[in-house]
Amino acid sequence: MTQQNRLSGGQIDRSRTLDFTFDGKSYQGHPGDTLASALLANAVRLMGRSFKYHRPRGVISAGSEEPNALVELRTGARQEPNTRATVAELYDGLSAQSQNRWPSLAFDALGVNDLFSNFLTAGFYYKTFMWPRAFWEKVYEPIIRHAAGLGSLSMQADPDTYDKGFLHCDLLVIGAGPAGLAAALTAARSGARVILADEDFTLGGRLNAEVEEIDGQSGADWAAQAIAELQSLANVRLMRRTTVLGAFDHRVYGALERNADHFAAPASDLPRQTLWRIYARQSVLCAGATERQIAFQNNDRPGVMMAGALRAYANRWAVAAGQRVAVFTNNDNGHRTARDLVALGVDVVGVVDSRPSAPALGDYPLFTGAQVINTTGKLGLTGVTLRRADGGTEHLRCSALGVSGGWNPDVSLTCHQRGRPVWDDHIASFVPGGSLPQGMHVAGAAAGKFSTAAALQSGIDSAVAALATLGLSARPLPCPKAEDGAYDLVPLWYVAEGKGRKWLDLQNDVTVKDVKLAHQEGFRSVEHLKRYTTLGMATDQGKTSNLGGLAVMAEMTGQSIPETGTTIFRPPYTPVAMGALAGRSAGTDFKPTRRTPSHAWAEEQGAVFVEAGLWLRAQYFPRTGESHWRQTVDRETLAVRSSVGVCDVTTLGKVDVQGKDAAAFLNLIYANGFSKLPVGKCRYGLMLREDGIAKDDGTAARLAEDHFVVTTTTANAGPVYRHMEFVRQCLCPEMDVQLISTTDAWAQYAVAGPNARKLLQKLVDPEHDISNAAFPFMGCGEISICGGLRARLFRISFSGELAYEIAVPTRYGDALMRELMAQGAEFDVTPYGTEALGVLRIEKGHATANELNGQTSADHLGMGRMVSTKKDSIGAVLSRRDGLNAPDGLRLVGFEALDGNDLPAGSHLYAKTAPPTGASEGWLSSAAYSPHLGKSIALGFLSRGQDRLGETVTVANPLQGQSFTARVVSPHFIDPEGERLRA
Amino acid sequence: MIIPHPLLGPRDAQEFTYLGDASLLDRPDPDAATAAEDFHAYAYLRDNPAGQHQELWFHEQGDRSWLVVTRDTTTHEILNAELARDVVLARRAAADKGADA
Amino acid sequence: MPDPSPTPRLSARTAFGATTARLDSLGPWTLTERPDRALASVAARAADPQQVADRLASRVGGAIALGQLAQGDDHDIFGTAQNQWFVMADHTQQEDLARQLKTELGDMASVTEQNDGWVVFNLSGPGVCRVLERLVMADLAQMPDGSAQRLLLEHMNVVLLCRKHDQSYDILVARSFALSLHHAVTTAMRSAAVLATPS
Repeated sequence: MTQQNRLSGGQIDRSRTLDFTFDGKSYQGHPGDTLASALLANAVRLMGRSFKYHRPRGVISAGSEEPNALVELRTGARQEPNTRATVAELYDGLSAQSQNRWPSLAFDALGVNDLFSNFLTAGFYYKTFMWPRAFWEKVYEPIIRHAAGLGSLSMQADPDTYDKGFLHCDLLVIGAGPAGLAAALTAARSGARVILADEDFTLGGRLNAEVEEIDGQSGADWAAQAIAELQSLANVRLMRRTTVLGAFDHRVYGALERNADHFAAPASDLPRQTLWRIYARQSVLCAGATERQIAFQNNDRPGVMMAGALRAYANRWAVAAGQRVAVFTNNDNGHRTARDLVALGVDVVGVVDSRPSAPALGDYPLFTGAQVINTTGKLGLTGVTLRRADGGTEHLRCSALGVSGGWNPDVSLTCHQRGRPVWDDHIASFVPGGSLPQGMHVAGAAAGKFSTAAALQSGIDSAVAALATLGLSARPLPCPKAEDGAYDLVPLWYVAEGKGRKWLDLQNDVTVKDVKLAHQEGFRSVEHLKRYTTLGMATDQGKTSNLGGLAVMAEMTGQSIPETGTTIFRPPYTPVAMGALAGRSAGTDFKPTRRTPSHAWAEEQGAVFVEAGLWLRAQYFPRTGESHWRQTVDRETLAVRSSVGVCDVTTLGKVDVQGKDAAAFLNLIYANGFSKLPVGKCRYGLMLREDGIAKDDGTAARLAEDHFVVTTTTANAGPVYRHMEFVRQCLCPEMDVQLISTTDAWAQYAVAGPNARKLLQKLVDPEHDISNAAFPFMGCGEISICGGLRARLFRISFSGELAYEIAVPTRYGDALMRELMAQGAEFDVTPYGTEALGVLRIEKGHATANELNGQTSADHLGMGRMVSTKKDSIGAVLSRRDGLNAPDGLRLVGFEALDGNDLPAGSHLYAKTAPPTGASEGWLSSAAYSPHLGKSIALGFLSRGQDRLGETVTVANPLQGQSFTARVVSPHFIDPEGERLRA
Repeated sequence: MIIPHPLLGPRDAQEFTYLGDASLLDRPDPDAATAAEDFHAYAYLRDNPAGQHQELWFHEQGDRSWLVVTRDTTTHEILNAELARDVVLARRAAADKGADA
Repeated sequence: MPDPSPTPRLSARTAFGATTARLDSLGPWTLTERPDRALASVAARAADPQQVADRLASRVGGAIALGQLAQGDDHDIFGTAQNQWFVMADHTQQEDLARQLKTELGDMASVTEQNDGWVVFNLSGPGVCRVLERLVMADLAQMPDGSAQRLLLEHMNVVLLCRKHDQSYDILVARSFALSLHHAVTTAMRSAAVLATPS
């Protein structure tokens, strides 16, 4: 027999049957079901094991607050742990497994924990697993992790894609129950831009779960009609299956839309979920209320659930959670469950109402002034024992018990901007306080307005008020006629009778006794209580348990609940998959990639690429027969020194500096002077931070009196540009100077080596003389090449060879590279990558990011005299302070390996006579094998380095147990006089 | 957070790069006798107020303007946002006027 | 792509290293690379920013405020910052756009060639905001025809130009990002297309 607990009616589509499995067993349900409703329809009550004691547990709610019915949904790579069965929409072929049990849900070996519960009370971690200390990582933690826990991960990469997006609206309505629908209709009819978001797949909230009339039709029909109208309006965006997760600064909301969780797998291109950032000028929170428990002995047996959930399953999903049902309540609302179930033909064995003067509201046995004191059953409820008002006990045989301890307004989102809820005695609960997130209004049950009539009216009023703050006038919707029933709650938090465990937090297994124990042990602050007992710290964030714990604490302290503390909620409202937070920024899409204009050409050459910031650069170009990268790099390096090589340097940052005061501006940002640089010349520039430490370096080429092109290092292009704008706008706004980045506008290639000029002369149009006399070292100019293409030529050298950098508009970069290769064939022109570039500059002793690492000053770099004393520049004053100019300060020098070993960059330096431990005398910043010199060399910073040339030092790399010796030499390993680059 | 850009209206803070205390606008006189001490204070000493704080934000993904934003560090409320350039020019104009008087 | 190169020896490539412009259609939307756009930036110098603004306005028949895109016969001009504009023209006709502008504006303005600093895409089709809302933070409903915004798109700095609301937008990104931008936009186009299809 299948779906033996299915009733008539409800919002399920009986014309279709969906097959699904739970722990391998097959069941059937219908579209409109959740996994929880379908399991209940099939009389499956046992859905999970508890976190700590492995107690058998069943579903207690019908919404996202569910603490018990957590399952592993789907299989393989898509397996997702801790999915709440109450919100998992049923689809054909759904497969779910129970979790935190072994070997099976019905027989869980770790249920033995329950027998040792005396040892596992509040703070058991701290008390039990203290000694020996070494046992924590190796013994205790693995055991606890195995025994206490939630679902398991698939350990496979997530095959789904996630999306994200941005939405804007005048009014965001959170929750589509009666208040939310009334608010949305009011705002929508006024023409405002409205977003209505609800986590459910069917909108309407409690209107789908209750038997009520609005304007003469059923609540569900009224909701459907309202939704149809909203759907038809262009100014409204209806977002089903969308949870508003958080209220962030300045009216920004996060929302997660589940696009494909109701399918077995997303269709091609369909994102599984979309994370939305919603900019809402105003919002109305209509999140409703969450029913709370009354704790009593063994109130955690499968079959004990919230009274409101019990009738939601009956009314919306046509499911009787049991064939014989009892209700335990302290308010009128709980009676609705009995009334509705009786109407549906379910056997209601009794309503136990703790209020002595509880009214009789229907045709069922009523026990006034009575309390449920215990339950029976093992894997599921078989009956409840109650203490009658007259002192006698009675046992009611039943398979389901609906409990209503009252309702708590769902104030979560009102707390996300440090708002504190306030106590409302009338409903014995917290309601939203005065310090709401900007622009937020609260309506309906979330504001403590529990009747449908009050919810509708407050939704309308909130929408009108919200739009009024925007200067929009909204005509209030005529308030539909609806029920305005009594609630009449007399608080009852837990049943005093009995020594057994009375559960407050079902997900983290916290009992009334645990809270009392924590108090006895001195945990008086609610925040301490939470952390010590873990009350409310599970994935459900204590939605059903926080207030109960607070009430027990209040009793212990003798204070009122609001004096004892408040509950506080933080984003996210419900758990979010990591993938959704990443969105599309996963794998290689984690960040964008920048490509140089010669990228396609370099790929054709079989280049190996390396990431440099966001850029991909050719690292080296292996040729057939080269089996090791060093072979390739040695060949490329030697080719530059002996003939000519070409390297793509497009990635260097390029900033166009123009204006009457352009030279004065460069004088300020560079430590060395620029005002006297003639047009048609370049100069090396050293940029300092204001604290005197080197920031970046590059060249500035003066193309005209009022026009410079400045280069920055690849990695620093963004920060340097930002710094230049800071100086321009904040420090010297009087200057007439304009900046703009042109990095991407020009393809730029370094052409280096003794044959560089000969090669370029084949491309440069004849009217431009680039002979050594006409275009000397550090010359620059705007020229044309290849029959009229505009280009820029800079005679600068990073390698120490005769070298140029030539730039053309980027779209011609590919062609220029091919032309350089074709025309250079007679010189055996060699493309070289960043690796050879590095070797060449180390051989020449040029500093780069390794040396300008944020710790070194101009003096350390051997450029102390470059810092002009004749003018002001950023960093000049502090670069002169003693600490950066100490006689025993660091100095950039060169090192030659003496043992024939490579010198590891990062190694620390010690005097040969001293033991290589403790504080060192400096470090190696860059190292390479120099094929030109036939030995390993390095650049590094050594205390008093300039005075120690010729000394032998110890190069220590203790991380790998290495120690070498090296000779201190000039950092200029080749051509210290600079004859090559001036040739 | 949303920063009310004086020229572009409300902009998401993601478009901005934060620098810090707006005291960085007050670069000391490098020729003063006390320049070393002045620059030390300028480079290193910052207040860390719980409450209103004037700070520099760069609209890196927008118009590349530097803003002086007045923000309450305890609530993130933004009380004012001005172009840093305008702030500096106004201060210098006021100082010049003071010097003339 | 038409080859505007003055020299047959060096032929132009698109930002994708190809000889023809990239074009992708997904659902009702089309993403088109526009290598035929010439670009130059103009920043007014201190002396007379208003005159620079007026000169530019005369090219498009009306003033261009920050955040606006003015579409003229030969030029489109949009404001990117205070006293800073970008001018767009036909690359096949005006590859020397920057030089022309500098000649006209002289010392009044700093002009920089940006032809290849940026790659221009056009994204168009009915309801294209469904694609853009997955990419940019801008309030697209508040971006009328002829508006311009510089903003973030998947960690990339872009300029978004609204030519026709919910119909046609230009997206400009630094040229080296072309492939990443193309990937981001086509991915969002696929998402939006499949979500627009009732399941």
